[in-house]
Amino acid sequence: MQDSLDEVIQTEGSAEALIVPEHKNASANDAEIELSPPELSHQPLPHRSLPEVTVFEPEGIELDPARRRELPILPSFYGATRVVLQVRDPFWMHAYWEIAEDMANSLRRQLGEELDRSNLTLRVHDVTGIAFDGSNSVGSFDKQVHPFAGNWYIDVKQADRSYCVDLGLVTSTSQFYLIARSNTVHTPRVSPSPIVDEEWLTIREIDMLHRPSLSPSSPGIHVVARAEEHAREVALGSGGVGAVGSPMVGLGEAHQPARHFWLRADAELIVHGSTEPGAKVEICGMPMPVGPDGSFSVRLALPLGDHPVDIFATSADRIMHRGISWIVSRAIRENGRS
Amino acid sequence: MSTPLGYLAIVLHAHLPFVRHADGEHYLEEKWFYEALIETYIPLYMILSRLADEGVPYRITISVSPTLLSMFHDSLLQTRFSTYVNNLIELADREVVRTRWLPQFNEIAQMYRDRFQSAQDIYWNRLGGDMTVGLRELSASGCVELITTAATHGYLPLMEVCPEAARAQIHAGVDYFRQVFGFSPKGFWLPECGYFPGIDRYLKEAGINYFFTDSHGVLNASVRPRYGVYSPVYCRSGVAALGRDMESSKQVWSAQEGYPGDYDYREFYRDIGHELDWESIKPLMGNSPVRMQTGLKYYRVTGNTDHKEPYVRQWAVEKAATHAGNFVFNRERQVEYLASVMDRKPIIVAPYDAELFGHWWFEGPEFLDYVIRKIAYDQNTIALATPSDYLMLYPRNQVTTPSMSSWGYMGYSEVWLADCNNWIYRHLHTMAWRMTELARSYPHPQPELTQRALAQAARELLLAQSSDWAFIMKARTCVGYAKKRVETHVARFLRLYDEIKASTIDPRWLAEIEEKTNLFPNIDYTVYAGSQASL
Repeated sequence: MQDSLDEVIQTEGSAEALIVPEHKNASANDAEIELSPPELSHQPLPHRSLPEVTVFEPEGIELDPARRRELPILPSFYGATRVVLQVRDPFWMHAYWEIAEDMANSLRRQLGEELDRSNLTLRVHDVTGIAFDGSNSVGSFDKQVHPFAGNWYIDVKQADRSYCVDLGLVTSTSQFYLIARSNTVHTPRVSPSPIVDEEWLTIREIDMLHRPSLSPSSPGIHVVARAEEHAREVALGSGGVGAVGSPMVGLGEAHQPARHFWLRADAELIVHGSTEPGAKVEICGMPMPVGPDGSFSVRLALPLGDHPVDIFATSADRIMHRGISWIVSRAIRENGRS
Repeated sequence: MSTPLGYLAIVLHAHLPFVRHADGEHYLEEKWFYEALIETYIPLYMILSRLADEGVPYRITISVSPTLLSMFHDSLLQTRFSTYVNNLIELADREVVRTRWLPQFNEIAQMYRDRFQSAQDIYWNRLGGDMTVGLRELSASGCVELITTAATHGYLPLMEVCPEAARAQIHAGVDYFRQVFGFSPKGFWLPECGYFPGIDRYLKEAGINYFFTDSHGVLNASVRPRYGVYSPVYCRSGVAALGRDMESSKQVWSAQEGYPGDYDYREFYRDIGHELDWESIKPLMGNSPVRMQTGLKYYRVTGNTDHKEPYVRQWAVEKAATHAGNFVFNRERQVEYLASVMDRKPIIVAPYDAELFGHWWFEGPEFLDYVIRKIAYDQNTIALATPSDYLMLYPRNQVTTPSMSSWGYMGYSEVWLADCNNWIYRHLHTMAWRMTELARSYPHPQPELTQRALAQAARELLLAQSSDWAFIMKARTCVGYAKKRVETHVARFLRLYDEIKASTIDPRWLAEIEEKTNLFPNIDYTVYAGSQASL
């Protein structure tokens, strides 16, 4: 694993290597990361020349190959230099980025050979309560990221904070070259708010005023206390709360996984025959469909025991009758192989 | 009837992604829609309309996603559904014959035959093949409050960087509801209960009065909500947020502790599609070379064992009644307690995926039937209410800002932003930004062809955003299909974008993809231009 990563870095150790060959399922945080050989074509693939997709193959199912057509291939990136930050949960954010060719070239010009000694880095700024100007963050830390990752998960210690990330290069002399600045996000709280200045309004009042009006002291303390417990459970993911959201398997067909070797067998009896076209046939008293050629057929589950089978045919003019009767048995064979 | 001490708001959320494929009948994903119709939507309609016909007083809230409404409306899917049910009826007929010497199974086979026949009968003879007719009827009965959700069930918290796209999901969802039902929805189901502060402003702008969050969305609101989730709160925009009650959810939802796992209920996984010989079930398998479920299942849960006993309908229905009694009893105790610590009547919000009832939990519709009857006739402590009813009763509510949250695993965005699906946002966001660029560069009016291409671009973006695709990739059920759906809609959008900008729109291709995605016929792409209600 590590070998292949090193190889990629060595063979592609140029400014161009910074251009992210987006690999869909690869995430740097994924233990099973697999990097395909990077394709450093800088032009988005010409989707227009590709045939339109019309056939979806359900997973694991082969359709008639003649009906299968090539799928559209999405561009790996869109030619803009940007980093986008999203909130995953109170303690994790996700960033994805893209470095356009002109930016890569410009970095190469500015940094020269230093570029190869620099590390692509996400500088995570805590910008809670401030208008971030690039230097006034409340605190910051660096995440060195793999140049080909294209996206990264970022863990933070504190919930309910605002964050912004700068994507940049950290040189061997610890200088930071900014490549792109992300949007600002705010992570959610993990517990009830300590702020209890209540404001009670009707919609009309909200629409008209927006003026706070304090309410009398709270009798609802128990309600929240109980609620707090739930909130903790949700935050910690303990117990079955996680399962509450989506308890069952998804939309598709699901099988119970077999936990051990098993064998299941059953038997059916097929009774089939034919008579004059147009005749009526009953088997065990049940009317049977008779084909235009006079043939009939029925499947019957065959449990253990003796089963009488009565086949009875009546001619189309109801004058003639014929019957056949059997006993069909199914029994456990003593001394069978088991 | 004396005045209740508190209220229970049952909310059913019905959604399926748009899985209509006009170009062939081999798309197994369409089966999701047919199964949901025959196992959930039709049975729920039958139970709710019968309750209304009998004059049983009840109020529940049902959200139906616009993608599902579009499929309800679609004549091609209606016809295909009919074929699907006919095949089921034939299979059940053969099963009634086949199980002649297995009396326990024979009874069940007859049950299925009767169910399928009456579903087919009601579907055509009472609803004319269009489920929206049934929904309109339930709404007109005064018992059901219909609400809407985002146009294609896009997960809104991951649209924070392209808020115009979130706004469009909301407006398109509300607009389509209005087109189908002829009135405006009061409530909005946030897909996956995904909320982030500020999204309520778009709901307000779209005329929405209330929405739902998971428990911690309201509990962790700042300022702290005095009554927790047991009373709505107002966002600063003036839209009410109602938080899910964990206790009632767990009783019904939880795979371990919940009712659906009871030993008398029908076992979901033992289906004759996996058990009979291939020839017998082949007609139900369409073009599929592999076995799938048919919906005919003969066993009960039995226990934590591989050995399953035959299903006994009567026991299962009796158990549903017992569980309904237990559920109502627990809500009564809950309301008694809450009412004792609150200076207003509490409301317990109990939202469920509609498909839990009937599809996953076969006896779910009967359970709901009993719950409604027991609340109406067997007690006076609680009453059913919709959020609108409650807000009418208590128009003054605490003002606060709910916390970003969802009802997915771990309560935030982990499911939809995981290693296996995070690649989609690079595309979805770029599409959204480009759509906004288009909406601003091409205001009304435009030449007809341009206008259509812009509308189609909006449709492709919406379809790519369905939360289902990311969810499926995460759940690893039909990953190939979900990926291809995202790729297809992205690719079409990108081509449309280029063609619109270069004035080289291919009318033949446009007509082709319009036919394939025949939903939201009146979509207004200019909604992507954004508005004053910025986030």
